[in-house]
Amino acid sequence: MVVPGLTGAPTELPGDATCLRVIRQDLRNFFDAGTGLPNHKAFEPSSEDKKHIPVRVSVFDEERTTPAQAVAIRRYFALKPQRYVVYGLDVEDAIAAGMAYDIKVRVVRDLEHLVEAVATMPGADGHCGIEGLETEAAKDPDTARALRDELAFQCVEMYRESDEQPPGDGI
Amino acid sequence: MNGSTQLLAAALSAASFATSPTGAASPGTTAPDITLEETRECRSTAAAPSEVAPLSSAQIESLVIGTAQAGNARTATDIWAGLRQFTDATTRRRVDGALSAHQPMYLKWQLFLDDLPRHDERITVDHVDAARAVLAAAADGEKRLPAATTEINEDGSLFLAWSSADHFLEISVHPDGRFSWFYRDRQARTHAGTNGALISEISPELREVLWLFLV
Repeated sequence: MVVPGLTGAPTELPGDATCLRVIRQDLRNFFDAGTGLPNHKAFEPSSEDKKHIPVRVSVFDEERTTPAQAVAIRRYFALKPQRYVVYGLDVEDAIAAGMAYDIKVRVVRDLEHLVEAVATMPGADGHCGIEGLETEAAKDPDTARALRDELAFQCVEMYRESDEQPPGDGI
Repeated sequence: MNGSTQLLAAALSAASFATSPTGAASPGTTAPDITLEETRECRSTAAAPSEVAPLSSAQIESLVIGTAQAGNARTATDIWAGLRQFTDATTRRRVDGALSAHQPMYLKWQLFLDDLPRHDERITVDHVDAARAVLAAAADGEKRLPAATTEINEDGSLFLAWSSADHFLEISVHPDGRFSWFYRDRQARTHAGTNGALISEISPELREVLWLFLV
């Protein structure tokens, strides 16, 4: 869809910005060993992310989107009850991690891939994407994993729906 | 590894505990009222399930709880993982509850693995058995890998991961038992692994990494 005001090259988020990554956990096929630590899969492009070029891992600009809004937007697409966790990642950390592995990583505003129903939801204008995290961007698969693991290592948990909370009724 | 082999592994584990010089149980017994001979009978059951009756629910409960109460919660959990399927629902609830007090996370993980084929059509019982076989191969004597963060990769392989502030290890097990692995030292920012290539045995390089995680 065309979003008013979205023209030309994508706008990069500044280094001092923080982006929010929402992770979906299906309790029936996800087991949390209790470390509370994310791993590289938290920043792995989904099959949906890979449909668009350049591949962008979906995140939100913390300036424009709250963790609750980010979860609500992700939940819109859920086919079954899920639990969600929200991590915060400083853009400068993402860029630095990319440089360490010789990969250009950037976070850009990305409103063009939002479906209309979601585009009007509160906080949707903060939708962004992290570029450079797909396997093809690295020299080999393990380097891509290492980069994504570094991002997981740098991010901070900001919100987690508890085990006791009925999935789907989180926020 | 099929269910029978799993039973065999559990029975062998019980027998090993019974004869361990460090075990709290008397030599020749695994837990109150269960003799080593009965455990051997259980082992023979694994080889020919239709010929010899397995232990009763009550005997299995006694074996597992007795082992846990003797201070061997890990062994009890392993035995339970193999024998749980042969007990009735009431016994299952009772033993699950009792064991969770001894070793909650590991037991919870074992039960999660048991239930996975019922919850996700991409995963079969044989696939879970294959993952358990890799975990068994990764163990070293008394030391084994603790509960792993577990999920399913997009290609259908079973993703097992162990994380700390310093280290990360992933083993992705495919249905045929082959697996790939990836390790990262989060402080030194170095990594190693198979780059997605599948292997069938624990390599010396992976063995060195495993020592960072075995407990």
